[in-house]
Amino acid sequence: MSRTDAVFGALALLAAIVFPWLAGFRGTLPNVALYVGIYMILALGLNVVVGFTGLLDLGYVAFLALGAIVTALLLSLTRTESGIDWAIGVSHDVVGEPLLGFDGAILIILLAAGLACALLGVLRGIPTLRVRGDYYAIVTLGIAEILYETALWDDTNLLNFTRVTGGAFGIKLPSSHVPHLFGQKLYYDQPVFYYLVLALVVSAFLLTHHLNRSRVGRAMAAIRLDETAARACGVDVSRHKLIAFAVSGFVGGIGGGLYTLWSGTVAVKGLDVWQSILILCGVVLGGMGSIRGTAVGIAGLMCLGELLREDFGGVSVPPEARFLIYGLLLIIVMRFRPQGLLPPVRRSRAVTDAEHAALTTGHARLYDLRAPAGAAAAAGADAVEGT
Amino acid sequence: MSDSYVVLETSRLRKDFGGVCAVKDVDMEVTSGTITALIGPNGAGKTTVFNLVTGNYDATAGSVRFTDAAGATHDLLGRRPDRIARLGIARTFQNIRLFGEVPTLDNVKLGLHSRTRRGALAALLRFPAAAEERDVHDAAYRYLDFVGLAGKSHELARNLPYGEQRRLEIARALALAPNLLLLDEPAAGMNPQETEDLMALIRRIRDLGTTVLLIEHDMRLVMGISDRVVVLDHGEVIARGVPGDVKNAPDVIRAYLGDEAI
Amino acid sequence: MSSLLTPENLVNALSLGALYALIAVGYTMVYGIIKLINFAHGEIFMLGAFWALMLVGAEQATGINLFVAIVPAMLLCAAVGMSIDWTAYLSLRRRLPLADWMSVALLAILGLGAIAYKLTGDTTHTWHSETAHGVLRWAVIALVPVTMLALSIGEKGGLLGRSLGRVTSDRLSALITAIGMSLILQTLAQLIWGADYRAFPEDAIPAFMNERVGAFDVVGLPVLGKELAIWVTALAMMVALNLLVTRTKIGTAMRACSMDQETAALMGISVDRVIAFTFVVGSAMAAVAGILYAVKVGGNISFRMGYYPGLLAFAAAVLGGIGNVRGAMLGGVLIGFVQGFTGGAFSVPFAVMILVLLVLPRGILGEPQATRA
Repeated sequence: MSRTDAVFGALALLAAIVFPWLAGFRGTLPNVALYVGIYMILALGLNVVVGFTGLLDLGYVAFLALGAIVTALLLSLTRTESGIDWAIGVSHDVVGEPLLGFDGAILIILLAAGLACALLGVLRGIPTLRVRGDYYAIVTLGIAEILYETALWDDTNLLNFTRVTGGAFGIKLPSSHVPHLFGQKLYYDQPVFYYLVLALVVSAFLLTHHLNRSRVGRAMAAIRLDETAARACGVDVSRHKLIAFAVSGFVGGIGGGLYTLWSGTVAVKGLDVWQSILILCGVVLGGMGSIRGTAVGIAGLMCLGELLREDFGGVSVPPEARFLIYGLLLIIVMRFRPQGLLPPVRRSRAVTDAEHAALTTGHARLYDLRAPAGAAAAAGADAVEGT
Repeated sequence: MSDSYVVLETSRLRKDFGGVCAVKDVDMEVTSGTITALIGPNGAGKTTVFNLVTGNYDATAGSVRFTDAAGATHDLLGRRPDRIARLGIARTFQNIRLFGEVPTLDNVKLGLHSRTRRGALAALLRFPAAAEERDVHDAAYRYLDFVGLAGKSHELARNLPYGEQRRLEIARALALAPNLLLLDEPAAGMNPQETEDLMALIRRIRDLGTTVLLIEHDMRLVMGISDRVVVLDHGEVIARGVPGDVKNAPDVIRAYLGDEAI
Repeated sequence: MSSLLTPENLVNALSLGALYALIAVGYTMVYGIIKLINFAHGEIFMLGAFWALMLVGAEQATGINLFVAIVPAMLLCAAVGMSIDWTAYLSLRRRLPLADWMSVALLAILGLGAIAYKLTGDTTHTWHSETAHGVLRWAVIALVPVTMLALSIGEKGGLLGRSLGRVTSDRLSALITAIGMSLILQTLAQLIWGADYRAFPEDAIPAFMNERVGAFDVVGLPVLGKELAIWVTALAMMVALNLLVTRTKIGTAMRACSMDQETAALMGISVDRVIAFTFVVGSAMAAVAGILYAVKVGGNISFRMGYYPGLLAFAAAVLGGIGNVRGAMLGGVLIGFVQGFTGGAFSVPFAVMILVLLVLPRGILGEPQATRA
């Protein structure tokens, strides 16, 4: 991270921390902020596959949906006289005690949602390891569509999933089951929820940043740039793709869990391909592979969407026009700035003359990873003979 | 060297594409500490042999055996390219395959990939990264310096001139600390001075203890640095030996120049 | 599952197959030449149905005859197909600064026009003034993207900074552009025609279309006139297309371009013109498919109608071997059968598509390609 990035990051974090004191925790602005935060997590997760690894995922909504459903199901787990049950489809006044109702249980639940999605990412990834480019895009789109259609199966189909997904109506969290964290209700207008989302945004940011700058992230970049050359460098392509899928799914699952908490209900019906496209738009707009770009892109896009949603200065834009504008943005960005608004910048520090001298005193022990500076020339001769 | 051994040995190696036989029963040996040149007219199957050795192609029949730096012998056929690279065979490509959009230093860092360990979990949670990353940086820089590109460590690989791209690709391959280095037409497109520098570089690589097998059309380079030469034509070995003998072998002259040259 | 093997399903499968084949040839021809999944192709199919609807009269058959309407609908779709290529894809292939701005201006005018149309035509949106508080509220939200944009200006790699070059591959850019194009066409259709499902007026469809064809009762197949119409039309268009591709000069040029664009250009073929022609032919066939699909299913004309058939037709193109026109026909019929015999669900054909992509990426009639180093 360069100094500019660190300064901007710190300023943005500070702004996000003090934001509710200016805008309050209730009302449109904080709600939009939460919405942006949740989608930022999702976009950061998608960026791992699309940006780092260079595979166009058109079915990312599957992670959002699975994470949301797993969270909703775990939250609805209820202890009744007859045993453990799900509080889905029952009248909400008569639900029993939440099974995972203890303070902080939500952190475990979110982790479970993330892990479930990481598993989905790997399971979905294994068959797609061989395909790339547009075929990968179509396969992910197809798998998401299959999951979408299957999730809505009811008693007229082979298997009935309405018990799990709530069918067309979705799952509504019983109000008695709203989880607690640090003694506070995790409700969309509570400070603790705001700061939980913020903390998770920051975590997703750091997680993907560290991944990108690591050896594993380098290998992912190599796969994106040239799979054959990556193999020639000893990179296990399948393994690193699966890591990318798992990380991407994990982050997406956490985002999905927050989505459940935020909206209080999960309806698969609303989690269709458009959600995948929306998140992808954010990543593409900001710059594929760029973490700050992705964050900026999705934030800008969501705010734009919110702006277009309501009356502004007396003129309102029809809600359906939002996707027209997203489509235009995609085309214009691809045309004029395919690398996005804030593309990834590889900053490598120039090596000073002194460092150069210390690093390169002789090449005799070239193959030693940790050749001690200066000692190389002296130890050189026998190092060659020794092998 | 007295304790030389066979690094690479192919026996009855064969590759068919559909009905076409690109490589026909090739027996070849590469001895440690040498520079071996694989030559032959266009379409003789040289690059196919490389691709068979590095696992980019599956052989139709035959065997490829490789002895690593520790002395263990491996059967290469059926192994994936990345596994073969990890065993100690690094290569360059005929049409340079660098990671053009990243700096030269990062290209070499990728070559170091298999020699470093940190896994995904450590990366995500940021366990002590600094130490290994510094080692990787320093090592990558030394490789760049070795091929004479130290001053260009933060330029994008695609912005380098052609000859430097070839050398960068060699640096990346060397970063794997290979026991055997395969160079596919390293001098293609180079001017005489660059070729001269390249020859010196290849000799220095051999002097580090790395065995070199190269494909090359530039006969001055081949005759100048090779210890052994293997000549392929129509997928078959038609001659082998020290450069001086091969140069005058009738089969070789016929393959290159046609029957009337004899 | 024996209940699915009914004569009704067989007839349905044949019709679906014929329709998918008509759409699939458009995908396969475009992919064959420019290696791009033209996501907007399904939208062309949808536009064909809408235009026919407009031409015959939206509420009653006050316009021209449905059969006659097919021709202008085909022409309109052909024009849209060609302009998609020109506005969205052409300048990804070649750098054309003027065309860049012109096409963006065109798209923007189109979008703004549609929004204005919607605003003036829709009484639910009034031009009332909001409170100052509301304005302020949204100004704050607008601040975020504006600030972000400002941040990106001037920074290294930012808006005005030195471009770092294309991080994405060109094919990825093209694919994302295609998705954008599909979004634009869908939302345009939604803005103009609304979100309701619509149908051709009953009196616009000739009576024989919904009557059983006696000749098929002999073999026990319940074939309606419209099914027969689909089969005959699809067959005729396929034969015509086959002749076009194999017997004409432009067809030869198309095949040459799909084998090797650069060499084709060296042989004096105007590649851009051939690509435009490919879009024209594919779009015209998709228009016909859209109209026939709307006649067959009834009450399904909407801005969404191109999505699933479009995807399934792409599956058909892959199944047959992408780039291969006869393969697309075969694949269309196969996918139609899969869907027809599994009760019309989309999951099963999608699963088949995924399997094909993973196991047989070259398709049934595709040529095997040697792996490259």
